[in-house]
Amino acid sequence: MAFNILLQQLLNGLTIGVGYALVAGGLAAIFGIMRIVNFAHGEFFMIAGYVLYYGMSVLGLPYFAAAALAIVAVVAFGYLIQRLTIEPLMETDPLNTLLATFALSLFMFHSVVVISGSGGRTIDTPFDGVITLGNVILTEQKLLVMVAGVIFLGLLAVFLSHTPVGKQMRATAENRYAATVLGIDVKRIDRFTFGLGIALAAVAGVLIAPLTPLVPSVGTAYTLKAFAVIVLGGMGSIPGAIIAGVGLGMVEALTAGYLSSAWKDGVAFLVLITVLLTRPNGLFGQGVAH
Amino acid sequence: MIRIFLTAVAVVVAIGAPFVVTDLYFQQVMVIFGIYAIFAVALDILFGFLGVHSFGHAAFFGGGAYVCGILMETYGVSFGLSLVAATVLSALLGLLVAIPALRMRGIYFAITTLFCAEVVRLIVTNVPSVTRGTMGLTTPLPSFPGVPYGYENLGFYYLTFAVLALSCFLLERFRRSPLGRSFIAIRENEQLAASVGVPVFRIKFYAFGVSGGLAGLAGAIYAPFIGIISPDLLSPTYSAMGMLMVVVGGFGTIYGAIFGAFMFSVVTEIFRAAAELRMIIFSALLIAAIIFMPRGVLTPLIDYLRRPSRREPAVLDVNRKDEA
Amino acid sequence: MTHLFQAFDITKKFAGLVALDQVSFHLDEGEILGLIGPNGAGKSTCFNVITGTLKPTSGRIELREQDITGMPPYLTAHMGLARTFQHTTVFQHLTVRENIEAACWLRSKVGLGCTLLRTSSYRSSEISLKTSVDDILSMIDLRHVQDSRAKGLPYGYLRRLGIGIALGTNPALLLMDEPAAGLNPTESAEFSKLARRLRDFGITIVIVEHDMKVIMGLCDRIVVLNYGKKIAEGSPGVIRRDPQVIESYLGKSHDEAETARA
Repeated sequence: MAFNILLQQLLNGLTIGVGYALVAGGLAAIFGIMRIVNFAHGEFFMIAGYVLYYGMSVLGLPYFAAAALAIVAVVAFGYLIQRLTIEPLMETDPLNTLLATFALSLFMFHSVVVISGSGGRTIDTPFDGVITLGNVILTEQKLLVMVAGVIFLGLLAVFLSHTPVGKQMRATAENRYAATVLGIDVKRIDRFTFGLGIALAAVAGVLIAPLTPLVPSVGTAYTLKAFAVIVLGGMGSIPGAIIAGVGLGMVEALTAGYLSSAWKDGVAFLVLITVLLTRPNGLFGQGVAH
Repeated sequence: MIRIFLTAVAVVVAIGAPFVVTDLYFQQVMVIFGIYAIFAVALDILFGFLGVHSFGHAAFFGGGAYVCGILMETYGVSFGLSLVAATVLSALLGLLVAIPALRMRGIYFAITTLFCAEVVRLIVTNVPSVTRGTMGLTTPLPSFPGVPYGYENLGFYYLTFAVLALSCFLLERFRRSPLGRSFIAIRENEQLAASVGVPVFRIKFYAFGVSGGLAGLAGAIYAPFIGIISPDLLSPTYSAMGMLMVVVGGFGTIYGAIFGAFMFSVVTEIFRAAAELRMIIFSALLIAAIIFMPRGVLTPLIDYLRRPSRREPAVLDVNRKDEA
Repeated sequence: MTHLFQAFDITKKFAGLVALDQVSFHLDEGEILGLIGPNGAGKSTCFNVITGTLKPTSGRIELREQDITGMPPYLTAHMGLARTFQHTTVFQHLTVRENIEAACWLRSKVGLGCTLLRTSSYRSSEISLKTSVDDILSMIDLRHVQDSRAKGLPYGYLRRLGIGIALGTNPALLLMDEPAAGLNPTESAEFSKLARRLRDFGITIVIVEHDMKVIMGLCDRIVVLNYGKKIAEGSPGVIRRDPQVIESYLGKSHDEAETARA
């Protein structure tokens, strides 16, 4: 019995953890390659959820079509944002991109509040069935999160290691200057990286949004979680971010299950601050994307 | 001489304004402006003087508000004593945050301060027995000595502007002193400052305390003025609001921070923009300012005005009013 | 007899690599010591260990018989040790005068309270500080540009301003990291004159420098490092004739060629 509860908690944690891994993986790619901190990252996750909601409720699209629309729309928006606000600041004081993305996150958050209100929205997907494995319960949507999450993370790995653009991205992460010398168009790589990072956040958004009531503040919450994850995983390390993301999801689920759900966020942050103090390079790795 | 004259005029105007314009709404906007200005000035101590970019100052603003609110509402402590307690506790909180944060550099510093604020918000949200959690905490209206019942706005007005004027006066005096010069040296080049004997860490540490305390004082005035406070006060939105005011105004100049607060409160109030719309406008403005005017709006203006012998135009008078 | 400064067997290892190997030397009051050696000989490491930027792996450093080993830079400055930086390091956005004022932290004896209350002690200290700043500005010959911002001043001026900033601490011992790098012959000569003036003023000086002409003409004594070890010490005349020094400098290009091939 107790074992079943543990198993149930771990399964819940795994679902949330895959979401964290996707969001944080994108954030890690952006940090590792562009050397900027995207404070607005979680807002893209949130907006993907809202586009999904409106796609299904207003346009009447089926779940997958609305999800595809959300991902495309958010990536297009992200590309625009990158060209307009981040690219002009790339070679200036790092504080500028930090402030700009912070302002961006406010802009996106409050825009959604104005459009949709600060109340919650629920999204009904066709995957509302329940799978029972012994005493452990798994909703179909959670299964979808795990399957789709693993597929997307796998695609990311293949992309980074086997395509020319992926290789160029890794070279840029290794040494930006050397990459320029080697004839890599770093500007193009930056645009691509930002788009890719946003796409991962959007994928997580359309997968996770149906699991919880969607509120505008979920964006900031995910930004903070993703930060915790990439710090734990070693800034800029994508595999580190994925492992730490899944790990954080598990720890939170266990905290929620055995202590109190109200304090689960706090545990994550306290662990994070401790890690920052004792191992500034994160738990894994040297902070270089691979 | 001109400085002294302008200052005297500003003081007279600031003292006389509520008697000339007796509109309650106007007075309210002015108090909010004053409170925001104190908050922005507090942040500018770190941003402008030391080049320390705290992303979690809402913790001190909101923390001060909660300390004051809880003391007044739950324990019936007098307003004055609550203000002092809020300032002291926020300053201590500032020192506490500084311990882990100052060991970090760059983005790690930003993230750490942000997370420390989140931890404070989480605590406030999750102990409803003390803070009423997300329900929000109501705060009683204090009585001010010599201010008749029903005219509390006047009390808040003079309190706020007295605090603002005093802190600006002291900061400006400090900025012009050799001690202040060494602070600015830290912002300019930390390694070089250390090499001439400036104890960089210790100065940043105490500055965090002072800045936190002042931000807490602003929050402590804010709580009973607004009457109800919620954990939202501790959210990144308020940290960002502070940074926004400092950056839009241009950091390192106390006037810049006040100008930013003025833009944020009075100007948007004139347009009667809703709170949410205001944040949208201001975040867009902030992004534009970072890209097109990295030194802020006011700083280049002052530089421009100082060169020729022209005298202060209307824009500057607005800020001078509170400088005292 | 006691020396102003002594380094005993300082060793510094970086991840197994020995950058400094049991280097000892001393300084007497009022001398100008040159620290030279081929590239990668450990000069910069030695410099950084002395000023406290790096902690030595082992060894001891004394200033006026007080142990300063591993003290952070702001405390070594307190002990009377000042430094200049390899590249022009000044406070870019401040004026020349403000640069010196900012560097006078250790001279200003008034605290925060006195500053804010503007007490009489603050006023008198302000006056004495003004005199000190004037003196330093005259010493480095930058009085005529005292109100210009550092950003945009000619290179030679910035180097002098860098020295002026170090003088703000009122040092007993001044370490200069390649002070003549990038200067033209006239400026180099001016620099040598300035260094002598500082010495006459009672400041002991250590110079790390590539320009042999400056070193030979200026220093009373020279310490030569190679591969982290002290290989020679003596007056310029002795060093010039030292076979080991000649070899290490002549062999340098040979060695570098070999490393490049490997």
